[in-house]
This record gives sequence, C-alpha cells and structure tokens, in this order.
Amino acid sequence: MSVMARIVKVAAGFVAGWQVLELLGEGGFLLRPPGAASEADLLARCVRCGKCALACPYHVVKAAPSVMGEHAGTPCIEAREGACRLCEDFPCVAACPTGALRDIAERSDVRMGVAVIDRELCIALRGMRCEVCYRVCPLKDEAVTIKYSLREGDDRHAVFEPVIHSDACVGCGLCVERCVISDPAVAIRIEPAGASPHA
Amino acid sequence: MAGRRTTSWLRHGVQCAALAAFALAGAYAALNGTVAGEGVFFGTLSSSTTRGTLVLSDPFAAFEVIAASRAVPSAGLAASAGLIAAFYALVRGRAFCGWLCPFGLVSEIANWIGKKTKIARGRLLRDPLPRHSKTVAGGLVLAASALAGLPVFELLSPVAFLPRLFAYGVGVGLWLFVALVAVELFFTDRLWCRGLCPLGGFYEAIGSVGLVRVAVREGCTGCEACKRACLADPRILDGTVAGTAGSVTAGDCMLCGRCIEACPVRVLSFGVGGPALLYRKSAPAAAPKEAACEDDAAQDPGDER
Ligand code: SF4
Ligand code: SF4
Ligand code: SF4
Ligand code: SF4
Repeated sequence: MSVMARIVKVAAGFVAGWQVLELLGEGGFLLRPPGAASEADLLARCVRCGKCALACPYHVVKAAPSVMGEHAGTPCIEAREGACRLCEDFPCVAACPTGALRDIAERSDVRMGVAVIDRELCIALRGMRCEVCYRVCPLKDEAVTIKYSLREGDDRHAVFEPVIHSDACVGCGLCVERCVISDPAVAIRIEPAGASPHA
Repeated sequence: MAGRRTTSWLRHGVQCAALAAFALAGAYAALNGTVAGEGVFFGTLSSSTTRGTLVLSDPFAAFEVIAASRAVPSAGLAASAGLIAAFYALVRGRAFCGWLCPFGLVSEIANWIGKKTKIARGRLLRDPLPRHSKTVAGGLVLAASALAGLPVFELLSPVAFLPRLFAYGVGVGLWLFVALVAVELFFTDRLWCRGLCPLGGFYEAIGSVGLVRVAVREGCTGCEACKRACLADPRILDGTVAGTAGSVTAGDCMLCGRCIEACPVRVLSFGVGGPALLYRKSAPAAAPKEAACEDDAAQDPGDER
C-alpha cells in the first residue's frame, strides 16, 4: 500500500471523526417556529427537510448551522434579525411533513416562548415614552399591556411600563425585532419554550 | 460501444435532474420569497411538495421518526412515505440508489475521476464489506434513533447532504460527506454504497420483491464482465453467471444496467415480472469460466467512460 493511500486513509478517518465531534456539539436553546410541542418532540420528529424554512414567506425560519450538534438543520428563528409574523395560515406548520410542527389553528395556539423585559435596560421604565413593544405586538392588550404609574419622587410625570402576560404571550419575537435599545443589549428577549423545565 | 451506454446516460440525466430540482427550488425561495403557495416544487430528499399537493417523504426517515418519537406517525407522514416505499417496493428497492441518490452520483463521479487521473490506488479493505452489512447499519440506525430520541441518520446523511445544502444552505453532515468522497476518489471501493449506507440497507431490505430485474438469456460465456461493471456488488451476479439463476434476485441490485451494457454477448436485459416468471433457469449454457479478476486494484474493464 502506497504512502499516499495511507495518508488519505488517516485523513479520511480524521475528517469522519470530526463529524462525530460536531454531532456532540452544544446547541443551547433555540427559538423554534410555531407548532413545536416541546424541544424533545421537535428533535425527535424533525427530519431536517427544510420545508418550513422554504415555506416561510418572511424568511425568518432558518436551519440551525451544522456545528450545532443535534440541532443541525432544525428550524430556528433569530428574533432580532426577523421575528415570526404569526401568519394567518401558518405555512411553516402546513409544510411540515412529520408533525414536528403541528396543531396550530390560530395565533393563540402558538407557544414559541415568552418575552422577558430587561428592567435595567428598558427606557420606558426610566420614564421615557417608548412602548414600541406594545405597539408592534400582534396580540397587544393581551400579551402586553401598559401599566401607568407615577414616577418615583416625581408627582408630575407618569411611567408607561410595558408588562408581558406570560399566559398570553406566544413568543413570536416581534417586540424583540423592533426594540429601540440594542446597546449594551436588546431590552427585551424571548425565553424559548424549550428552555423552560416543563417542555 | 457508444450506443450501448444509453441506460447509463439516461440514469445520469435523472440523477442530475433530481439534484437540479432541489437547487432550483432553493434558489427560487431565496430570491422570491415563499414557494409553498404558488410553488411548483420545493423541499429536499427528506420530503418534498410538488404543485402544492403531492407530498413525498423518505420512508427510512419516517421509520427513524417513529423510532425516535415512539409515536404513531401522522397520517401525512404515513401517506407521503408510504407512497415512496410502495413505488420502490413495486419497481425495485435500490432503484433509488441507482437512479436518484445524489451521493450515488457523486461517488460514481469520484470513482471515475479517481480512475482517469490514476490517483485511485489500492483498496481500503482487502475485501469489501459483506453486502448485507448495510441492512445491519439500517437496523442500528433505527435502534440508535430510539435510544437517542433523534432521527440519527438525518444528522449526518451524505445522501441528503447536497439537497439540503442547495435548498437551505446548511451543510448538515459535511465532514462525513468529505471523508466518503475522499474514499471514493482514492480507493474506488464503493465502500459506503455497498456496505455501509443505512438508507441503501433499507432499500435492500425491500429490494428483492420488485418486479423489474436483470434477466439472463442463454449464451453467457462466463467472462464476468457484468460482475466487474456492477455498481452494487459483483457477488449478486454469481447466479446468472453460473447459470443457476435466471435473474438477479438480490435486493442489492440498483437497476443501474451497467451489467447489461458491459456484457459482450448481450445476454442480459431488464425484465418485468415476479421471481417465478423470471427465475426459470436458462438451459445449461455451462460456460468456461475464465480467470476472475477479483484481485485487481480497480474494476476497470467494462467501465469505458
Ligand atoms: S407563522 Fe409565518 S412568519 Fe411565523 S414562522 Fe411560520 S411562516 Fe414564518
Ligand atoms: S418542516 Fe418539519 S421536519 Fe422539515 S425541517 Fe421543518 S420542522 Fe423539521
Ligand atoms: S447505498 Fe446509500 S449512498 Fe449509495 S446510492 Fe444507495 S442510498 Fe445512495
Ligand atoms: S446487477 Fe446489474 S443492474 Fe443490478 S446493480 Fe449490478 S450492474 Fe447494476
């Protein structure tokens, strides 16, 4: 056997081994498109066909990169880059052949996650008028409401505080996409449903 | 012999057309927005939708999902995967391998380049793996899927690699793909397709009942050109060469037709019918067996591409 052949064999072995390592990579918790019953259920049923991503009219569903271990090729949404618009007919769910995304008849059936406001960063809490998250929410007045209160130590100015109602918030991420604060971080984020213990 | 390679060229045309369909659908989605509504075709090899209504899914992936989720598959999955399984069961399981599989195409191209440029030297293994080891691989994948709660093969499938890359731009299983292409390039063993591919193993398992098969007429001289040309495994042609079988019955056969093209006396042809119909033993044309060329480094004769 030539030296060349030996080198190629070893190299091919290494490359294949790398594949195994990549498989064991950590993915963390991802925001999933509508219809994932739980993180484990999605991972078990998703065949990485990409049809949900291809069907999304807003291109917000992306396939997780290949370095993300067991998540590779599964659908996820990066809310700040593009949030789910909660389409009337849920093309992503309709396209899924395996039932990894399923059982969504109306917007309130969606359970992608829950928005969480960073009270340190949200400028509304510091007395400024913002309420962007409230106004862009497709479920405003249910998922997010505005709480009026007087500013501490100031009897003339009110605080218009956005309050998330976790039972009604579906986690679409539009608030995150539109939040005016980005430095040092966005003032609102979505806690993906997969990250909560009961999922 | 140019005129005799029509089956191969037709086959490569089908292989390329399938790949092009995935790439075009992916490019269309990237440029124009949704494809689901007005789309002609979109998806990957794992599942696709044609004209918004015809859904086809990979039956082996469906079994992985059943194992991983430990649940009854949705009606949609059962129907879309059942259609494909029924089609290949009726024709011939591994017709998928010969006519559609993107990795099959890539490995044939890599083999060809390896031989043309003479970089293919030596063998990876003294003897290729036993041909049934891929069915075992298929079984192991299903067991692993059940244990891990994940459709395991979908995480590294070199079969689905290119359609996925073309459709949504993520190279799932890139490194296994690269390693296997290198193997084909430098060793031309068809190691993966002959012995390791779980999907090929699945299709082999449903492959012996199909109605299309390679049949042999009287007149085989025993030159074994067909065995050297066979993409699946030379051993599956033992029966027709020895005159003990009227057709290739092994589930491995990919209906690639290379044996038919390679036969210098043209006694092989595609036939349609059940085993009973085609199994009729040809009259003892008991042929002088010439030296087998099993120990050659590459199976060059019969491959005049
Ligand atoms: S509901 Fe619409 S916007 Fe949201 S992920 Fe599905 S297809 Fe995309
Ligand atoms: S359509 Fe379903 S199976 Fe396909 S990638 Fe999306 S979630 Fe996974
Ligand atoms: S054995 Fe596997 S990789 Fe080879 S042609 Fe068949 S499905 Fe494709
Ligand atoms: S027996 Fe003939 S048709 Fe079948 S795989 Fe081998 S060469 Fe191809």
